[in-house]
Amino acid sequence: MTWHELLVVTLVVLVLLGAVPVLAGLFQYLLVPVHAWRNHLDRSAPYLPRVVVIVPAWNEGAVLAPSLERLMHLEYPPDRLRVLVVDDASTDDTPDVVLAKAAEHPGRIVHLRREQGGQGKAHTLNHGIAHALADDWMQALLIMDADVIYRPDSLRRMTRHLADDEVGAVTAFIREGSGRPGSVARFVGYEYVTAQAAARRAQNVMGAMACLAGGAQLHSRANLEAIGGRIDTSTLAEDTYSTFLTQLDGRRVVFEPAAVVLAEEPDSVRALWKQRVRWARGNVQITRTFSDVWFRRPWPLRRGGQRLGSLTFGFVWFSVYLLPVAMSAAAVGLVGLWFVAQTTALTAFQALWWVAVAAYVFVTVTTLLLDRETARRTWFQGLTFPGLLALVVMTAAWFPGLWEDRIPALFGLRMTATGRDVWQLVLYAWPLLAMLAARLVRTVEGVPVLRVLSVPLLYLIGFGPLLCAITLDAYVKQWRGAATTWDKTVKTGRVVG
Amino acid sequence: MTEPTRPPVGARGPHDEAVTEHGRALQREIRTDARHERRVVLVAALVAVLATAAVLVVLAALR
Repeated sequence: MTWHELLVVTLVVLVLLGAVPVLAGLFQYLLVPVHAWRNHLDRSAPYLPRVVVIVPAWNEGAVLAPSLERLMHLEYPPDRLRVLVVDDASTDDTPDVVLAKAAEHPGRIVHLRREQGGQGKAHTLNHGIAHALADDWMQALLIMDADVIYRPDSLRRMTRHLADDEVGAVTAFIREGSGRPGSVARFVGYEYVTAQAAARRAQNVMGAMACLAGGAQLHSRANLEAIGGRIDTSTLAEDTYSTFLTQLDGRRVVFEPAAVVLAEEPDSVRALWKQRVRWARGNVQITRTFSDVWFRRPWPLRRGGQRLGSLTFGFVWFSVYLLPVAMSAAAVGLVGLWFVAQTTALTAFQALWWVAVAAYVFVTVTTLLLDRETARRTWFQGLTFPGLLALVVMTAAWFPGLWEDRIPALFGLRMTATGRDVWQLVLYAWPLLAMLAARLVRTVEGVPVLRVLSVPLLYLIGFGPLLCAITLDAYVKQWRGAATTWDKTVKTGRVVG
Repeated sequence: MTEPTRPPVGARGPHDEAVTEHGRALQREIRTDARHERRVVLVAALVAVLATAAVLVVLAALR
């Protein structure tokens, strides 16, 4: 093999790396129909344990009252439900709101106050958990966020899975539920169907769950005690940490799609960026902390490690974890091939984007049908999720010459040779360029006179590339050792349920 | 207050939830949800496969 051939093969491998996340996404979606049979409902039974709900609250006065009121009206036996609001030294009217609700529902809502707050959600939760474990009343613990609204039937749809003592924890479907969502919140709403309603069904089928949703984590008491009776405080992803510990200790984690919880999600790129950088940095910490888990089947180090350590779960986890790397590799591979083997470059480009077209159609249609309530609000965001410019790249891959010859010819124009080269390079480099351009959306949103352009730019560049750019930023921050502070996502009480 | 106990897996027999009218309603809800789940995921997958095939065929024909 000559050096030239070796270089070409290397570059083709880089392009193939770019296809891995697409194939991993498709793989998860192909598992969704299997959930028709492998969904744990056959092992659930009527079971209404005594549940303590822990609501961590730091300056949540604007959102707490409706959340607590909805908890009091859950279709769940009132004598089996207690709510502990852990007030993390709030400086707003949170204590007044909680005390008023506690007076309305004596014995069912308890106000716990931490005088020294600001250490993060996990510390706040641990304050409440210690209180809940102090006596033997509690049989199950529900961890939620202060702003989320539980549908009346959601809790009992979760507890039925705890009838199976192999199950340690259950999570629900968090649906974006703002009354009048803007574009970013609508994109998040659509993304939540892909990341939860679809991906967590697939994880139910695989028997390994990546994460209990932070706003809906139901633990059996036995599980909570087995994982140490407290929530980890060393990472930014305390919910994922508990999820892994539960499974490594030999108990299952189940996703219940019929248990719906409504949440308010960020409606600006900057707020989203802050939230997701925290999540992505948490995932980096989890990947390192549980480095002895990945791809270990059939030699698990711990009792429940088999499924977390499976090839399929590792494939899914790392395809998300390394998404920015894969996108960059594809762009570098294609641009490199353009310089050394143009015919191979064109073939690789077309193959990569043909796969992307098939995946895009399959994933979008499935997502819209899995949750029609969300689809009615977010169908346009679903169609434009990869970005309008990515759709242009797809058409360029399918119809060679469309943008270079046929469309300019309609206007009596001809593209120059240099123009063709630049166009081709832009198409090849788009996966990387989109991530760089996504940073621009955030910058534009921060400039008052340009802010109006941020939403059109977001549709052009796409929400998917934006998430990739955020993940990349998180990796850089983690690599630089930036301070790991708990940045609260501000909620305003827009949820309508 | 009644003492809730964990029922046997897939239980239909006499334990505190299953023997009550409410317990039977919960059992029916589980069966209904299972049927609904089958319908939702299978319809979504079938339509998605057909839509993907249709789009690919149309694109190939236009090419």
